[in-house]
Amino acid sequence: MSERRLTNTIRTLRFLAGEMTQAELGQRVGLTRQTIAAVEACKYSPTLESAFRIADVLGKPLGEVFRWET
Amino acid sequence: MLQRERIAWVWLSAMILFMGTYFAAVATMNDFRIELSFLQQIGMLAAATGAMAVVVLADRLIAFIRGRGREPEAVDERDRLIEYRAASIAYYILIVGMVLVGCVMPLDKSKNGWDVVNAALFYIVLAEAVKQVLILRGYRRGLHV
Repeated sequence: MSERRLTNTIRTLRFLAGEMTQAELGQRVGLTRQTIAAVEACKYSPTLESAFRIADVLGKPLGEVFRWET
Repeated sequence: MLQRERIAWVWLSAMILFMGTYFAAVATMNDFRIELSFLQQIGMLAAATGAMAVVVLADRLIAFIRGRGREPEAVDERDRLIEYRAASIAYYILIVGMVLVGCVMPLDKSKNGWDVVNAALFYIVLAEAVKQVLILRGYRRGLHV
């Protein structure tokens, strides 16, 4: 099994989306602010559905939001 | 701190404090071969579980009063996954405990009814404590599928 960690650019993309708050992003994708914070801190990997919803709200393809840590 | 996290802390602390004291008292009495009547045993157990219930209910009441007017904390996929993971591990502990209590202890003629009851309670409390610890760990240290 791969030991690589999944990382993400949600914090940067939120900034680029006009300083969208974690709560606002959470509300738009159906997650709590705490879960968005956990995803940003790489403490939780969202389900595929939520990952797609996050990418959709941030207006980027999935691969630009989530990627394997190099 | 999330409300669910606080509930887990209160539940775990109350269990360790009151049920821990109860099991320590039972073990000490067994060591010194102190025989308690049925009512005394029930009284000890009722005091421990009652105290635990009072602490947990008081916490819920305080949370309810403080949270009046605010929206209730939403539950999402992460909360459900943390709960599910914790419950499935605790389930195995409970099953092992129940097999020991139900299938092994009755064969030991030196054990009386209260030994079996206390052993069953111990495994229930242990499984619940492990569940709460895993919930706290899930919130604090993160969780990956």
